[in-house]
Amino acid sequence: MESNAEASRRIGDDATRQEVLKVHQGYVAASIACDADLLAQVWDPDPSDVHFALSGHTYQGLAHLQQIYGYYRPQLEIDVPCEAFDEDVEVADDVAWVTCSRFGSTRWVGQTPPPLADGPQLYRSTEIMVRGAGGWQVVHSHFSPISQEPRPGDI
Amino acid sequence: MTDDPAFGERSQVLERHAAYLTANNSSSDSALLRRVWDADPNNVYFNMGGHTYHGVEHWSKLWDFYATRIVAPIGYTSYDQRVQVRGDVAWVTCHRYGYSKWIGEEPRRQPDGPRLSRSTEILVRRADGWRTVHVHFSTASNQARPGGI
Repeated sequence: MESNAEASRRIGDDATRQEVLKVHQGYVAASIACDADLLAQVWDPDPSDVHFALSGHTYQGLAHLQQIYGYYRPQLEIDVPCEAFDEDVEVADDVAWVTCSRFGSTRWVGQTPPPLADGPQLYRSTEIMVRGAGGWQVVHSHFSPISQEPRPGDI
Repeated sequence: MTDDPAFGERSQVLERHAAYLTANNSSSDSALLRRVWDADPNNVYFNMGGHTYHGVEHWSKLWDFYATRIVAPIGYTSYDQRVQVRGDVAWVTCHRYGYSKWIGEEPRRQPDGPRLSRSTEILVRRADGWRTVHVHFSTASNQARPGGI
């Protein structure tokens, strides 16, 4: 007997995938502009939701993320806006997850020591979303750098 | 005893999470890994080295490569686990601590010493139980968060 998750993945409902991709794109747009209001449209309000940032830090809840956006916004210049590619979207009932690679380039113009390296950055992301009464919202995200070295072991 | 109806499901998911760590800490036990991870070759797995792998076969080959090149005096221990179950999907986030040392003859692929990392695992319920369909592992920073947050 197959589970509902298996059935949902095989059916691959295009309309639902497009809804999920739209939220993913909203999240990308919010992070490019460090736009706390746009972020609130795509992030779940549960204060216990976990976000693993590209810097290696962990944040919990929308308020944390909005604070970090507020901190970065006046101190970060964007040379190349972040673009997502190699997106993989999976949907099972009321849960979806999106994995992708991302490229962008930023420059620190703040007075404090830069928390991120300047220049081009290649990284990957995992976003988990849940469908509630108001539609899909992100409940977890994880960003980390991509290695440009060959994979070990000739894999 | 607990009145939480999801307690049993979360326990099953945590058991899978723990089994992965056991497989990883047991000289990279690929046979155990195959009992925890899903068999779909399209599944995406992001490892701590910053590389992307597809399917359990890729990951098993990676473990075979590392098995004779890394020793772990302190195996991975996870903490701050957060388990969510929604229908036939579950996800686990946590921090992990471990200590490893490179013993291979090739140039080292990772620094020796303690490693603090973060982990996201997504599992789906198959006919034979919970199976991991995605992981994302990355290095955690031990610096203060910027912005006084």
